[in-house]
Amino acid sequence: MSTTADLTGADVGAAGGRAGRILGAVPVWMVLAVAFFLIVGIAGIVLMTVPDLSKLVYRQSLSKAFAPPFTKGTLLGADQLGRAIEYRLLAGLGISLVSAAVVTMMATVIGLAMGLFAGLFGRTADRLVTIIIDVTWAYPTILLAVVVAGIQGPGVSTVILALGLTLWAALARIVRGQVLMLREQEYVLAARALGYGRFYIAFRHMLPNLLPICILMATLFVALTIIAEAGLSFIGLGAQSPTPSLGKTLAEGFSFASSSPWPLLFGSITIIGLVTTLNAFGDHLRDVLDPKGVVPSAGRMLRSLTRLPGPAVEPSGEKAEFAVSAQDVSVSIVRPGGNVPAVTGLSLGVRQGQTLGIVGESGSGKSVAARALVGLLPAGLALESGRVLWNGRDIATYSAEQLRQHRGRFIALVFQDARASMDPLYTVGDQIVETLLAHFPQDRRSARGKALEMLARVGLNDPAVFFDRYPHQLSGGQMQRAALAAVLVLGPKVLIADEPTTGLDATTQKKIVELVAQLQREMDMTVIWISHDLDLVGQIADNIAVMYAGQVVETGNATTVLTSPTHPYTRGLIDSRPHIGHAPKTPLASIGGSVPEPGGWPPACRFQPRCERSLAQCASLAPQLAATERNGVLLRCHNPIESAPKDAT
Amino acid sequence: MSEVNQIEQKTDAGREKSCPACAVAKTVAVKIGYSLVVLFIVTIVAFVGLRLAPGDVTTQIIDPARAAPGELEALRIELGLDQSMLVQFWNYVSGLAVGDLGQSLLTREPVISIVATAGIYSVVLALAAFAMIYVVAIPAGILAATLRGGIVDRAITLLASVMMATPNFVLAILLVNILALQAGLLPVAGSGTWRHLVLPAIVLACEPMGFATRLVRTSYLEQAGAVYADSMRLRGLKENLIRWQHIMRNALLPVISLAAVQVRTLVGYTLIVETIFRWPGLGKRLVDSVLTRDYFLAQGLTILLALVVVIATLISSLLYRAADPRVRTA
Amino acid sequence: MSSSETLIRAGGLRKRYAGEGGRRGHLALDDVSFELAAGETLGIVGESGSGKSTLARVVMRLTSADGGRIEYCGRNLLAPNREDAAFLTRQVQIVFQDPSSSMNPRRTVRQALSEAARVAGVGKRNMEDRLIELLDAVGLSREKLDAYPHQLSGGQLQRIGIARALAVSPRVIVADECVSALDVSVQSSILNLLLDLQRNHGLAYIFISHDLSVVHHMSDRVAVMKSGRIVEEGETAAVLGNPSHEYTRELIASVPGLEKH
Repeated sequence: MSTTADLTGADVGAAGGRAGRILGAVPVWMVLAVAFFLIVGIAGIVLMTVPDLSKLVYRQSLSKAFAPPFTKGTLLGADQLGRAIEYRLLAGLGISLVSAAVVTMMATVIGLAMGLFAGLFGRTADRLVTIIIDVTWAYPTILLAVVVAGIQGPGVSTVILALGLTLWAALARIVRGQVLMLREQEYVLAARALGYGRFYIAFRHMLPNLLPICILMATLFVALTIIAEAGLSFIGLGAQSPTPSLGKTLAEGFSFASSSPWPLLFGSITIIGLVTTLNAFGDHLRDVLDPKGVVPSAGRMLRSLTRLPGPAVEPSGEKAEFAVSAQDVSVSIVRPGGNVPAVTGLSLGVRQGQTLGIVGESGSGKSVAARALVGLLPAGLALESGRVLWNGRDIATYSAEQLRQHRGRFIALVFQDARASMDPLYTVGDQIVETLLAHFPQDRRSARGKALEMLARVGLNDPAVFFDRYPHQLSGGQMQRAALAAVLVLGPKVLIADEPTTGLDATTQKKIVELVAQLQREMDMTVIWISHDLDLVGQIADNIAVMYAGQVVETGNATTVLTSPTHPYTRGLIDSRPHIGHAPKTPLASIGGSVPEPGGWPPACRFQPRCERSLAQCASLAPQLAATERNGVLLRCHNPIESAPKDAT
Repeated sequence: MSEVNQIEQKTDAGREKSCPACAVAKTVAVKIGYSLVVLFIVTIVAFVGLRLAPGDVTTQIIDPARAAPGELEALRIELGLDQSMLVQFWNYVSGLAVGDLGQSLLTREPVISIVATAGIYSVVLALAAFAMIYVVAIPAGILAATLRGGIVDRAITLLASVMMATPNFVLAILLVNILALQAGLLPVAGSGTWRHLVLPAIVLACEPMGFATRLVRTSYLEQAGAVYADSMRLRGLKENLIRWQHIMRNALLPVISLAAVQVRTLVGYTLIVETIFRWPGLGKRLVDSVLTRDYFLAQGLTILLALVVVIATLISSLLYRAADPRVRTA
Repeated sequence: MSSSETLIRAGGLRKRYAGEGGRRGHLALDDVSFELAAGETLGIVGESGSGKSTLARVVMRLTSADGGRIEYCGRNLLAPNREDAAFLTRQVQIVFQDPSSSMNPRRTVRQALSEAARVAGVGKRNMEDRLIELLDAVGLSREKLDAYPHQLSGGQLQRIGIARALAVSPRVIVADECVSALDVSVQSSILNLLLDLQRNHGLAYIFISHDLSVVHHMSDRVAVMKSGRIVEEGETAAVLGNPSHEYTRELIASVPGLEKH
């Protein structure tokens, strides 16, 4: 979860906007098409209801039967009874519009009421509504229309009644699900804590948030009604002659097709046009109201991520200084309106066997840095420039197959959300075995043995039991251990841990940290630990890199940096944490303002707006990461704090 | 409340798996029981609903204008229509329990034999359409997803949208006109050879096929961007393995639920398609029986069709349980 | 206002969540007792599954208790009559954890705060002034009144959550992990705000958190919870400086930085 929050925080909630914004996102031609049909439909209703005008719909002129278009007196031709087709179609659209409106209203009102009732009024209400929904759902709508036709005779009202009585169930189910979720939202709890009752909450808090779903379902209902009404009229259960339903017109056109193709042709065009427009409109609304996240439309997503592009540097013969390093790496988020930088100018490295801690808050780009180092950026990110080296070799020189082999065997990554990093449909053990077999072909028994061994090594005592468990059956701590087992079973030289303990209990966290340290020693690994927790990183890392707004601002030996930080941000972070030395209930130092989002970074020094030590040049000249007098510490600041040790506590 | 969830899981993991088969049997039994309740309520609704309308089947058998006085009434008594609704209901349900669906009031044929003869036609049609839908939709959806953004993807998506937008009777008209009347490739209507099955099946399958294609595509895309997919790539698993073993399995889960919904849709639209193509299935018989107040036949067919939908839902939910371990132990 | 006046007395609280399908539910609270005096902060620290969130909900009557008793100034807090319920709503309020769901995404700050102020009996005429007063108290400018939640940062949203709790002028605020979801650099400013408000308004806090360092910083007294029970309780310095219970020791040991001192 932290990855997405890092990258696309600005997108969250963007779609919860108001009506104006929603409609504004729909293309003009679509709005026009819908408006067109609406106007025509209303014209049709007017045509049918005003007595003088309705004569046009019904007036027969047998002499003109089957007249082709543009004959005197008619635009689109005449049907088998000499009635003008254009008026028949107009009226038909009017009927469709009325039916759709009535059914949608019925279904929406009943569906909303039932869904809210089920969600807000207790378990019994819920069970009752659920069984009613299931009974209604058991019977196909069309067939219910038949039954209703049997009861009160065929006709448009029959169709409307039948549809209204069955369609609500689909909405009710969805509303119920939403209500159950919304019920736990904090603003609802707050309202309850203020003493507001269920009805108030239903109307004031739930309904407005159910609106998008209702609108979506409404477009579906409208399309369904039009099709169903036309279809039923077509086979004689809906509108009866001489009522000009679209379906009836089509049926007549069909049976008299040999005499004249025009009624059939125009009727088909009308209904296909209407339904296509509605479907497209509904689709578009769905995209706006129910976005699933930003997925790039450029390129073939599934194949694009196995290597980082860019000019390669041929490997030199010397032994590499760093196990893993990045040189001037810049990564940005792909957006239709223009890419937004996530990380710029990232240069860092870790020596074999050492531990590097990368520290930062949300939006700092630390997770992106991790992904860049393993050479696999998630969907939606692109490498703009820079190189990543494994053991001194530019990974862009590897072929896709070579990269695949190195991944896992040389370098590995564990995610913050360990449960999401495994396929929920397979057991934990099977996935560890699978990982092994992908690199070291062997028979399953020996692979299973190694997997069990690894599970025990990560502290999952009773490994045989855990082998057969599914990811969702493990607790957070257990899952993180299992995820470690899955990557460490290959014996990688470098392990990158992206916030693996965030969200876990402190006691569990400690155990995982100790486990990683122990395994690091046993397996002689290099570890890069990514976290927002300075204290944690301070305990385990040899070196530390502090990131802010996509850049490294201070890096060097962990103890040095943490005991006497020189960058104002690092200093602020350390000082704003309460710890036992600090007198309780006294104000803590704090950093004013808030972390800027990617895309909203200040032009020069990105920390400048929040910095108490900012000088004039901080707002105009971007500071570079440069060496300082203190050994090994690199700093990006125009006005660093004098490097004196913090006051002894 | 994540706190509570964590505890739920710990309790689960710690619990002895005493008899997994028993747990499955119990769940299946509960679901079947629930389905029977639903079916029962449907029976009641059908029963009462049909009798709400004025008139009864006697006027279909004997022309009221030419009936002798008391003849209609005598027929009514003979058919058992004079008894109270409760008694009629009891008789019917006890008949159902032993598999006796009664007789058509109009033709005196046992409902069962009507169901058997007409039913086969409907089943064949529905199965043909169902098979067509998934044989096409699954590969097409996956293809579109893997080639996302390309011309193949756009073509498939567009075609699927058009298929969803075309009302089936309109499609029927077009196809009959072009393929049957003009080109003479296929018969216009009726039954008898496999050729007669082609057009009705295509018409029936069209809209659900479009919908299913798009669903498969969306679902696949969602899974392709999932964390586990990236995690597997980072562990060096081969792309093909990730795609076929993992992404596809997860992506097809929603299809199981969709299938049940589409069975319901198919059962409904069979009616229209059978009428258009004069395919001698259950749909047409149902319409006629309702309009003529042939109660037993109408009820029998109603309950039967509801049964089909209920069974499909049941199978789908059981299949889903088998496929997705999260549902099993939640 | 006597600072030693006991506002809340809770004893023997029990809560078992309903189990699904014949299973016995999980016991979230198991014989929990505590007291809260006016103007003091009682810190409740525990890990997931300790029952601390359940405790918050029970105190706020968002969920029922199966057993035990809570009294607020002599009135029954768990099953109050109508008059007492209205009274209690204006005495004890809550600030939640997740700033992104703490406000209805479709309503403005003004609407959210008025909803709370109305309960306190603020009429239309005085509403605007009261709202500005509340925003002032939490350090936000009046322009924020017309903002929607998605336009505000996590820290700002949390301040509004605090303003909402203040709207009824309570004497007790339950802070349920209210800084846990915030960036580190923002947490301290919210904590400072809470301390300020306590000084200025004489508020008592039930401060719930999994973060021992934060709890230590904010609380006069602390109660350590595990598996639904309070395993240790007392003055903060005493409990954390010289823990007597095994679990408390384990908890302290697992916080990097805490152990050093």
